[in-house]
Amino acid sequence: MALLDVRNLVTEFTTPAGPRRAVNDVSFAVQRGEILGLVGESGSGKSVTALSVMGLVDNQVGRVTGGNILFDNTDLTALPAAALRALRGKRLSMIFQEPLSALNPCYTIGDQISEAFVAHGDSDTRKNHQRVLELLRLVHIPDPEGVLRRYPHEISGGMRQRAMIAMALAYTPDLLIADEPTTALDVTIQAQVLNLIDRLRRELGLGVLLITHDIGIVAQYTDRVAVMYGGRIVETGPTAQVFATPKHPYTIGLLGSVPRLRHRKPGEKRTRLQEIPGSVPSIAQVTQGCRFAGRCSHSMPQCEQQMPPMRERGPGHDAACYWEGPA
Amino acid sequence: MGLLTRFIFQAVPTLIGAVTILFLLLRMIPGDPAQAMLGADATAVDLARMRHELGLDQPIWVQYGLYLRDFLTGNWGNSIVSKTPALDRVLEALPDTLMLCGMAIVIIIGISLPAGVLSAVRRDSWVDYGVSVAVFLLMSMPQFWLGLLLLLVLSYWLDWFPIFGTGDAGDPLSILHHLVLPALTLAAGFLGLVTRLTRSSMLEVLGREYVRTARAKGLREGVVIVKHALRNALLPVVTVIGLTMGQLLGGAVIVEVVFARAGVGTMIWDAILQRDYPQVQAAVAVFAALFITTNFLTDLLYGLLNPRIKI
Ligand SMILES: Nc1ncnc2c1ncn2[C@@H]1O[C@H](COP(=O)(O)OP(=O)(O)OP(=O)(O)O)[C@@H](O)[C@H]1O
Ligand SMILES: [Mg+2]
Repeated sequence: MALLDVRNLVTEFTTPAGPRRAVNDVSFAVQRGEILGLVGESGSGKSVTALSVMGLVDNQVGRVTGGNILFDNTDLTALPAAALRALRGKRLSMIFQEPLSALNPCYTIGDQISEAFVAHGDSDTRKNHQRVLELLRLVHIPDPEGVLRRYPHEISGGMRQRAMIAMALAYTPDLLIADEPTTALDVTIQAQVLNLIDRLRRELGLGVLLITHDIGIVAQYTDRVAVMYGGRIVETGPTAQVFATPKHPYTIGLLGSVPRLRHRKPGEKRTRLQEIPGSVPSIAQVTQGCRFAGRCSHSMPQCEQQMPPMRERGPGHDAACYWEGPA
Repeated sequence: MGLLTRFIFQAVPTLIGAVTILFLLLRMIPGDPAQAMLGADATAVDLARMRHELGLDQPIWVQYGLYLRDFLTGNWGNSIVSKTPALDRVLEALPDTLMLCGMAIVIIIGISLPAGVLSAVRRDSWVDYGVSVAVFLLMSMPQFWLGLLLLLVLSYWLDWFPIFGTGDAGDPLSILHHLVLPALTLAAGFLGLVTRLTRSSMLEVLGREYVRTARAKGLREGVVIVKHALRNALLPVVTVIGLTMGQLLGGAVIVEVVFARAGVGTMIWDAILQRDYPQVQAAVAVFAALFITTNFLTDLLYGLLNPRIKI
């Protein structure tokens, strides 16, 4: 039984033109002790997928309108708010994309971490202080006593991101969602943070949903990968297999846009996935068929008419495309 | 530079500017203090002697120079009418006025903050619409008109509150009872503004990522709203409430006169009618000093509330 089993998830936002789907019929699973990579260009719906799982889609502008999110056999979409809140930050936690804006400027790092304990009923101040120190050491923050008393703007981007991670690990969660946990960091620290997540996964059996733009990170750290485009998962499978024999033209494009995957020099800027001609369609554009068709060099008439269903292309390897692949 | 030094360097020039403008304004309004004191049937000789005693026969720049020297050396003169030190009279009347303004601030904070927060949290609900309508009415109604309306309904028709006076000295309940209506009138002009500001500031902050992070930790919604959102949303609101405090002093003059309350406002009013220049000057200088001090305290509070600012 998977730790997280997302089935046919649909998340809609209210737009001037009416409700539009940012996540459209998305299904995936994360096992305990596994890292699932979620990749795709900017705007493909990765963050919205993560927020939907956490129940954190801003209900003023959007909501989950379809599908099920089974977490340890409990359907989160049917859970009362209080029960979901009890899970958040304890068994289900998330590291956010931008650590500076994700931390409250008015409170110290120590306060913002220990708050997670208070939220779940552990209000022994002295004990919490010790636990926060332990967490800061766990994420390799030098001078934890000092950082504890600092405000977010007073520490470096790397320290902030580690503090975010420490916060997410306050209680050892069962599922950790990491939304681009390393975008703000330089390559050395990036590797440290990812190695840390990898170690926690191995030692504590965490299930991890790792969202990233960076194909290199996916190749190095994930067991399986799901490629997202225009609100849908277009290809998924074991990372090694998907990377060796990509089936969806979009995946091929993504991989092709990182030519020197293995030869990246340390310190070299991470490659952004923008080399495929064209751009991700806005959620405002409604299409019948495949959302990638307009940018695809293999598109056929039927691509415009009907969304191609997921088809098995190898053991555990599925792609949503009519094209049979390179001969 | 120390906090106090900075304050003095800002406050003193501002204060001098304020009393200078006042000095000129007072000399521009028609009327003669000597005439006002001696009455309409005073002889020309009496008037001339009186003017000489008051120094009014000197050229205006000499009068100004003497005034400024006295002002800076702390010699603020005697009231022409009562012959007692003008500053002492102001300080005697000050508590009543401060109480009125303080009560108005309490009303503004007590009504506008909760209303603004509630309408932001329950955005587009009937609560939000109700608050919006109230804000619109408050902001489009002239303050004096609202004061009269309050008087009519709450005092005259319902007889809940007394119409005039400050209340029996030494009886806190009576004082409070007399305070409610004037304070409400004084506050009314700012309720709409502060409510609207709180609402928009809260709405902005509620969309911030750190609010989402707070929810991700499993915090209760109440904690998320008060600790994480409101704390940040308060920053602009505090500034406006601080500035409001200055404007309240001006409003207090009218409210005190309308409700026949004792206070610096009434004192200024009477002193202007009697052309009691030293009294007006002392009272307005105290108001200006208060205004400058509240602005300074507001900056200080803003710095305390915002860790990104070094005070
Ligand atoms: N609050 C919102 N209101 C309306 N539309 C939204 C909102 N949040 C996201 N969207 C839309 O949903 C789509 C997916 O956004 P999402 O943030 O999930 O992308 P992403 O894959 O995480 O991109 P990135 O790599 O840049 O983080 C985008 O088209 C975006 O415009
Ligand atoms: Mg994102």
